Amino acid sequence: MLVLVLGDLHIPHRCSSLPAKFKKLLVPGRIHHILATGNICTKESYDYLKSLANDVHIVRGDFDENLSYPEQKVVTVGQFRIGLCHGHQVVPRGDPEALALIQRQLDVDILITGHTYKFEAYEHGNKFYINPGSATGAFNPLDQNVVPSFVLMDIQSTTVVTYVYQLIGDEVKVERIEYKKI
Amino acid sequence: MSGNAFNFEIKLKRENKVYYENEMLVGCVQFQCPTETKHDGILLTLDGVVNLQLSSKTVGLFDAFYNSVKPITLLQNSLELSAPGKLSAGNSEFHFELPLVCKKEPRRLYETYHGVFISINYQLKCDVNVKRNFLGKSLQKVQQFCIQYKPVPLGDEATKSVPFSLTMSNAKERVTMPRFLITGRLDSLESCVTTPITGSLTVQHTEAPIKSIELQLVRVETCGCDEGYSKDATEVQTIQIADGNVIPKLEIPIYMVLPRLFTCPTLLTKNFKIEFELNLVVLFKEEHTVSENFKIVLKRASGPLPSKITTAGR
Amino acid sequence: MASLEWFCAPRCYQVAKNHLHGQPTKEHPLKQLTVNVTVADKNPLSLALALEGTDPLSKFARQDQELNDPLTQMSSEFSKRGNASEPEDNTLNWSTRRLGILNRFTTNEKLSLSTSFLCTSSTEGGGENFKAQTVVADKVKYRLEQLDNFDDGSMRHMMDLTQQEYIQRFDQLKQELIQSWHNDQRVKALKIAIQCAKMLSDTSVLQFYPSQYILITDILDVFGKLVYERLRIKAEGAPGASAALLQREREAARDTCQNWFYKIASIRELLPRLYLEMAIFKCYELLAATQKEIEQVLLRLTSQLRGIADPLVSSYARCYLVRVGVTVTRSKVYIRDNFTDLFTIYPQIFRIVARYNLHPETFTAGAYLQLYSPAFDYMLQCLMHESDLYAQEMLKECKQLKNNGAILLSILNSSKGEFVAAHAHEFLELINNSDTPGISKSQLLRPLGSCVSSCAPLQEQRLAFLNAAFQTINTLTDPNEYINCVETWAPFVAQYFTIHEVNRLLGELNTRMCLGKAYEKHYGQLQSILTRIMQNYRSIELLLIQPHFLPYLDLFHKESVRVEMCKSILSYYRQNSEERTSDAVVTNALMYLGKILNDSVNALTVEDERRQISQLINGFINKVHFGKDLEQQLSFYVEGRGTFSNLDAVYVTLVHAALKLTMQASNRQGAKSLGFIKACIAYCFITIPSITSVRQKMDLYLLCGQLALRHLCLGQADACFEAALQLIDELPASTVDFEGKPRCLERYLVAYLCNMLATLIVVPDSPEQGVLYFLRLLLDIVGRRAFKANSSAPAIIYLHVLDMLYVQSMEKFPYHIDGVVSNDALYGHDPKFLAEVNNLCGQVVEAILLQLKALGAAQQQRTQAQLSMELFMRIVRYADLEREPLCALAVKLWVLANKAQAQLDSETIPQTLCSVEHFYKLVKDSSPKRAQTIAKLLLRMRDSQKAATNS
Repeated sequence: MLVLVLGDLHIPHRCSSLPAKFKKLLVPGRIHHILATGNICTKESYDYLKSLANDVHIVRGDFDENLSYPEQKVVTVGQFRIGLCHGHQVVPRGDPEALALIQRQLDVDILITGHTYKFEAYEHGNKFYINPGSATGAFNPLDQNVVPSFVLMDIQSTTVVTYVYQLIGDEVKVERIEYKKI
Repeated sequence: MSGNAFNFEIKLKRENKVYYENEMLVGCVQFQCPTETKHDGILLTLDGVVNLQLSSKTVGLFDAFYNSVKPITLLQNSLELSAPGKLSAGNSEFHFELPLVCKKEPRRLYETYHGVFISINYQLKCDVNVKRNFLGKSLQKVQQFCIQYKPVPLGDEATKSVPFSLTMSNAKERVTMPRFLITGRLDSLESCVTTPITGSLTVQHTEAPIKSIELQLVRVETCGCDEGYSKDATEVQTIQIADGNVIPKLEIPIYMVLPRLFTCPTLLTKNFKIEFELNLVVLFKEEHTVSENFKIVLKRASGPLPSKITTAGR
Repeated sequence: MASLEWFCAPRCYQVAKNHLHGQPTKEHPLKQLTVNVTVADKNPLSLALALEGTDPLSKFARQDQELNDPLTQMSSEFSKRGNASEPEDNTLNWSTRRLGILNRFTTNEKLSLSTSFLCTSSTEGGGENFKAQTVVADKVKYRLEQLDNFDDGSMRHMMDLTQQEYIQRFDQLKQELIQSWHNDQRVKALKIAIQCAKMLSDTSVLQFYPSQYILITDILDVFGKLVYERLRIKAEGAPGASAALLQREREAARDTCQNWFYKIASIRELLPRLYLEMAIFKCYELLAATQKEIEQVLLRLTSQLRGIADPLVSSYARCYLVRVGVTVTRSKVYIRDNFTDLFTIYPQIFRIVARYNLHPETFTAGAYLQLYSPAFDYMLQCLMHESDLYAQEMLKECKQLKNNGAILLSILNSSKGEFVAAHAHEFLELINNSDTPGISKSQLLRPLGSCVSSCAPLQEQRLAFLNAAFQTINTLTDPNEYINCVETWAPFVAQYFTIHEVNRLLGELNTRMCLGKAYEKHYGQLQSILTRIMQNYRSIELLLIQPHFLPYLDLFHKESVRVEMCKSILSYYRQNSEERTSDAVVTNALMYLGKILNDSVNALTVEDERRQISQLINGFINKVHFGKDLEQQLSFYVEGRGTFSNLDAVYVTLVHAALKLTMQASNRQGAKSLGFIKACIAYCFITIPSITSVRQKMDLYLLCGQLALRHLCLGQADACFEAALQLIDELPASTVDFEGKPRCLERYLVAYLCNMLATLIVVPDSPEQGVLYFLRLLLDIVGRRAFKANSSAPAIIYLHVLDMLYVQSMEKFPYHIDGVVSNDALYGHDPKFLAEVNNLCGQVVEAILLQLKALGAAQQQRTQAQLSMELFMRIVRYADLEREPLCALAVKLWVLANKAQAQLDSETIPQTLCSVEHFYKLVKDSSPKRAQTIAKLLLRMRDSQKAATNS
């Protein structure tokens, strides 16, 4: 089961589109679910995601036009409960303790957040935390050097293999991270 | 359940039921009995008859009623398919073979024909005698079949086309007639019954608009040469070949398919005659009519089921 | 009010993030594509292609092509050509034309029809009529039964039918026919078909004839299909039957088939006889006719059709013959023969035309000639399909024909584009010489224009041809004829000529359409011409800067049309322009168009229209790029602000754009950039207040403040944060979203303030304001805001304020902005500052307790318990539990929450305990003392819970 995780696009205000090299990788019909961490911003971008996979889950980012997106969401894929939250509501930003509290509240195996525009994948208290970064490399008002990135999770029973796609320079670098549910 | 609840029919081997003289009529009678059935014999009869009728027009009303001409028997034969006995339950078949030969005068089998005053019919009849049948239920079945002549090549006449022209001289009321000229040709006056009558006509000029141009097929039947004599022309069919005031100088085809059961090769015998004629009729919009008559001779030059589409086709 | 004394416990632990390190890999689920790239590597040219493509689908298609070697490529092209001919064959398919004809030829006149098979009453009377028919037939037993003889009183003449009723009747007849057939009343079905065919000779309502033809031939088609299918099934025989039996079945089927033809051959009237034979034409196949025989029948029918005097009736009958013919043979000799005959009777058509010319009040010659076009078009298309030879022959014949307009028009309509292109000059000459009553030159020029637009003449002939063509077009004096003509020629000009010709065409149109205000009547065509030019000219930018382009827009005096046109240009630009533009002239043109749209917006404009317009303008604002010249970029935004004052969404875009500019500027070196960044932020600060939506203003102020902070413009940052916080007072309780649904803004406000709090952590206190000025301001605003009754929002906000305050108490904040000296460094963990923080914490906790109390009073036990748990967790994490009041408070909260256990989710209490346990583990190693206090707290919690349950 392939789950695409991405967010913080900021199209069209900060970037005109996804990097061409990413677009080329994202072929319709191959991805089963999309989990978007927010700041999809416009309906056009949402429609684009819809064209990649029918099952699209979105939580609201601070610049999403659509107020009806939920702040938090739980999606079950295979044997994993996955929590989704943009993260601009977390004080202090990206605080692992605060995130752990959300993880416990949602009772999820994997917690996915965005907002920091920085890819991150770590384990804490036997739970898995992922931040896919910004897929467009949109600037972060408080941070420097944003690397465009997104994540693809391949979920097979109790294992999730995470592929990280980062556009470094002009090249897509892919890394593979394996995580097993205990 | 009475014993006569069975079904039967006469089946001919040849699907199209068309036979030539001197051939064997081959077939069988099929029975389907729900239970074993007793009978008192099964008889098959073969008949071939020319029926003649005098028309009231020529011989008077009463003569027509009483003085109908005696039918001419062409075929009469019978065959006992089974002596009295039993038909077993289920299907049973009785096969037969009968020669198609006319032994008496005219020693010839004419073609099947259905006309107004003359008809030539051939049929097989199967009778099953069942004594206990008080209900009067018919235990007879009839199967008709056709006789045709063996095809013979057409004569030289068949290749000669016949030119014609229609002018005021064809009209009865010449004085009031508009001027016109229609020319044309019939491809031949002698043709095969299974091939269409063909030809063409061209309106050269006309003062009055034409409403319709039609071709009429007429049969001329002559009955009896001794006691009475009647000769009648009746319409077989009319078909339109031009509708409306067609443009002059354009050649319009004449094309008529001869109706299958209502025509036969021209037949001239001592006792009766069957002949055919064509009338080409031009109707003008102002009620005038002119026509031209052609006597034609029909022959049989091709087989019963004309190969492929020659009949309807060309 | 006794204030609660709060003491923050120092942070004595590190939260361990066990970063999972990835292995660089070449294998991943989206891979396939990398494979393609490596293949493409072999061919540098295709790599370039691959990089260009942005759409993955088309890229796949392209790669498929690239992967093949030349041989397979050739074969695939060949097979493609083979496939291409299939849809082309569809052009000979009649069914695609049916609807067009039915819609085109309509009438308001009353129609009539005659039939013996319909009755107006609901009872089934057709059967009775049928019986009467047999009785009549019995009388003339020995006469051949005339199938088309209905003069027996069974006929009903239905007069005064409207078109709709007429169509209904024919539908009923069709149903009746089908029903009769399935009820084994085949003769009746045949008779219905004959009656219908007969009505094809009725031309009393001329303008409806082509539609009448469609309706009737539909029925004939149905009949033909029924006959054919039945015979076919019969001839195939039962599956598994013996060979002999199959042979018998086949012969029987042939015999039946033959009988059908016999029966039809005896129909008295010519027209129905021919139509019926054509209707069952496919049955000739079952007679095992050879191709040659079939062709001969077609030729015979062709010549028999000469007997139909009315040229219109005859033309349509010929059309039916061709329709039938193309399904059984590829030979075209008979179609050619039909045209020979048609050319003979062609003068007849113009004798009738002359009559209409004398009395144009009843029916015009032009309208009369148009009746022929569906039949001519179809027949010509069939004749010339894949045969240039016949096309040439037709062209030659056409030249010699007097009044050749009608045929010429059909040739143009039906020819392949390549053929017309190759003979373009010849066609033009023919049109120039054509002088046919009822067919104007512009009528002929239009299809020629469409033809060359889709397939142009050879390159070297094009310009001469264009000039010659426009010499003719320009002689058209009637503006209507002129513009209708140009409409079809516009794509040709746009597609194959330089911008110079396009500009000239626009100029000519400007001049011509201004004469006598001709434009007023032709907005539709003017719009369509411009659209076609845009669709066909390769560069929208180049079009925009033509001298005649913007004046062309002035032709649209009616504002709504002009706005429509601007929208269509901008949306075309949005989809088809280059990724970026830096050309000042293009930009000016875009601004001009945008201004027209902006000015069209007023208070009455609907929301959707406003959004659409804003989107179009935003589209090009985002495309305008002056590269490194950031100053020019900013001045463009300044101009935009001046121009698009009616559009909120455009202002939002402008602010975002200016903010983005600061990011670009910060990458630039030098002192100049700081001034520029300040200018950008100032621009935003001035622009934001003009936006109506409070929410968007708040978002933008926060963002602007963050960026100012980041660029070390502290004063501006403070101004932004202050403005943002002050705006909260104006934020409505709810808003209407773009789907038209009301949305409560409380959830938004909570999230917004959290975001603000996370930012405020690093905002250093300003020397002019007191300690933690913004936080106090925030608390003040939250404190006085009227939330919904029993809302948990203020408590949640306070909880997060606590989060923020705790960070302030730390020696080193978890994050910083480069170059910004945040409060940790500013105060250096000064006890006075810490006391201030603790004091504020105490106030906040009090505020939360007040909220809890209020909730309790309002019987909101569940919310109360949830919030109590939240506060409880924060006390555990942040407070110094050695202080008895704090510890006691934690226990109280625990007990309070446990009382409402029934209302809580079953998971809540265990989860909280789990969090406490987790926290305990965290601190155990780094601070055993702190761990002990937690253990003590747990014991107290257990005891008091017991006491509470016992009591």
